Amino acid sequence: MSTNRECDALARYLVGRPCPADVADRYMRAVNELNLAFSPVEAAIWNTACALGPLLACLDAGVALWNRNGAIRRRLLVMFALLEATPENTDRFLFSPRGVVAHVGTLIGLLLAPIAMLIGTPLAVVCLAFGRKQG
Amino acid sequence: MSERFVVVGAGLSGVHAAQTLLEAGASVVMLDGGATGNPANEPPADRTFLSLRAEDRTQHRYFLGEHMEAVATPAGRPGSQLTPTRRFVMEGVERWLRFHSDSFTPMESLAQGGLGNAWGVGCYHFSDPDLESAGLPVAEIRDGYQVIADRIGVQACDDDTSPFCGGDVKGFQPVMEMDAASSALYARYRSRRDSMLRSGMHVGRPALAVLTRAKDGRHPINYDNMDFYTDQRETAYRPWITLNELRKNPRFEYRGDIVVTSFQEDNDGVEVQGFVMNRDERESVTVRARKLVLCAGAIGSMRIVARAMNGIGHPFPILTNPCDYLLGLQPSRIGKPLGEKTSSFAQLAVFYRPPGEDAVAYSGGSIYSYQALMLFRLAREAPLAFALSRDLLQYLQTSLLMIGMTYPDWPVPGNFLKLVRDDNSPTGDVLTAEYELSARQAMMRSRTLGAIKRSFPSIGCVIASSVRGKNGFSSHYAGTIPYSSEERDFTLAPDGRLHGTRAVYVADGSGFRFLPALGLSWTLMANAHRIARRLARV
Repeated sequence: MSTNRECDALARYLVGRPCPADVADRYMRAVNELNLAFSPVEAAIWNTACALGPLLACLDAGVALWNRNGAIRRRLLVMFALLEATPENTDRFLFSPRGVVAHVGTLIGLLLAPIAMLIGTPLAVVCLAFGRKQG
Repeated sequence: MSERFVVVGAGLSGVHAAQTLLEAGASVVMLDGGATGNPANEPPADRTFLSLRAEDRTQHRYFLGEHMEAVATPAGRPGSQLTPTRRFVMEGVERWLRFHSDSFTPMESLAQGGLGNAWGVGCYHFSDPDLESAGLPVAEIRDGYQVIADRIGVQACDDDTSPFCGGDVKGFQPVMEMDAASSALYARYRSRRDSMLRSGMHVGRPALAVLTRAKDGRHPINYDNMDFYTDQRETAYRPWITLNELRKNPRFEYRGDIVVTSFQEDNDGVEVQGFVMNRDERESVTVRARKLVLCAGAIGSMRIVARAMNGIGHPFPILTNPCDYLLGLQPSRIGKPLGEKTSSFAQLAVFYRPPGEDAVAYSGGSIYSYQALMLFRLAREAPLAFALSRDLLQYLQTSLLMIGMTYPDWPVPGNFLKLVRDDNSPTGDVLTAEYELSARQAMMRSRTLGAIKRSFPSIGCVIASSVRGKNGFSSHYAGTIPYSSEERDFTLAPDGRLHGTRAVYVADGSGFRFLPALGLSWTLMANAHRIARRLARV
């Protein structure tokens, strides 16, 4: 998967928008500087998850529980931080009052979280077993 | 008086020792690592946190760091609490101040201003029993508190935490406005004050070295909420503000590129030894002094003394405040904005002293609103998918409070620092450490956390989680060369003179024999002034 498609998939998952070009550049640089390379098994799982949006949410939920220091969660963290530090995404991170629809969306997210964790757990365990050891 | 003093270190102790000596007519040479931040990485001046977040396309430089430093350092590692623009505090430390320990993670500094650059600017006041336990003379330190408050500017008010914060010092500036989240908590505390006090819980406004009125060319707080990222307005006190003033004095000389390693006394005074930093080839330097005043911090001064006094391999005691970080949620605040006037400084102080407990056996802390730190710091710690974390935290952030609690420390034989030889180190040695909580501290910690978890819901704040800071994470260090009335090796006379020497003094926190559960910065400055004033009279 190309880095641009990876960045777009991550941004759409995290904030529901495509990834700005400057953020994608910074993401690529950070992945290199922080040495967030994948093992072949991790790369296969990651590419599949990025190609299938809902699977990325499940993988994220799984590694949040079982592989917190692995490259997958750290890449997600890098993109999260980069998106947070961009003006066009301020409205996705700073506080703003919400209407009923947004509350319902959050409630659905919370209800689906255990299911995402269940699906993501085996993926995270495989990544933990066959992942590249992080320094 | 024209005696030449050499002061080592430009942190909180060093600059105030130097100022007192200069005011007495002495000449002072200050030797310091001297690292400074890169002005190019500073945020634009006079902009608020919210406006920068909404408009500045280069905000990643100061919120994340050019090399993603804020993301790269795992929570709990030394420096992880620093924002990218404050990372210079640790510049050069890994290279020049070698350290190894599995049980202790201190933060040291070679920066101009030292750890004072990362100080939370809380001005806590050791009580008389605290001072006596620490081996400090009560009257002189009380006098020192007043002198330092007049120099740096401190805001405080009279409330339930006054015995721990401002004390009886005169001339405080008015306290800043509280944000809505802390105001709500404080209002509920006031309504349940009697029962809270009966249970030993004191909540009030902290004394802070933050200006609410202009002073000496420095600006009052403008509530831009960029306090963790920049000191451009000089609202919060930092040691470099004093250093800049000292440099205008013709009797003051500053060398900001030197790591002092050792010293040697002779009949004419002291030869101070060190080397120039940031050179590929180590270039040795020596500086002559009539008297040497070590202000390199409790750990830094200990390194120098160990090398100079045959202390390699000797166990030096170490005191540090163990700490916990608690995340509180105010349900009644969910969905409400934080208000216009926000700042990153501590909004409230909290102290817990169970009824009937020793005068010094209390825990203390600060309460902050979670607004000017980025959400990724919280999301990183949550056991949830990032998208869900973002959604929840975005909505909850104005109802969150961070509570940092610290506990006192007494000398324990098993807690020590030891300098050992290492040929691979540029100084020829590496500092090692052993540290673990004593049974008394563990009991205090458990009792304090239990009391907060029980009592804070009654004032509308539920404790959602707590994380224990690693040993040394509080950045409060003391007690490595304790005060002693007996002439013993590796101890200090009450006037700060290093036993076994005639002209070497230690004016930082190395001498404290006890560390109460308070920030020690104000006491460090008051003690440095005390020692320098005595020296100036000799």
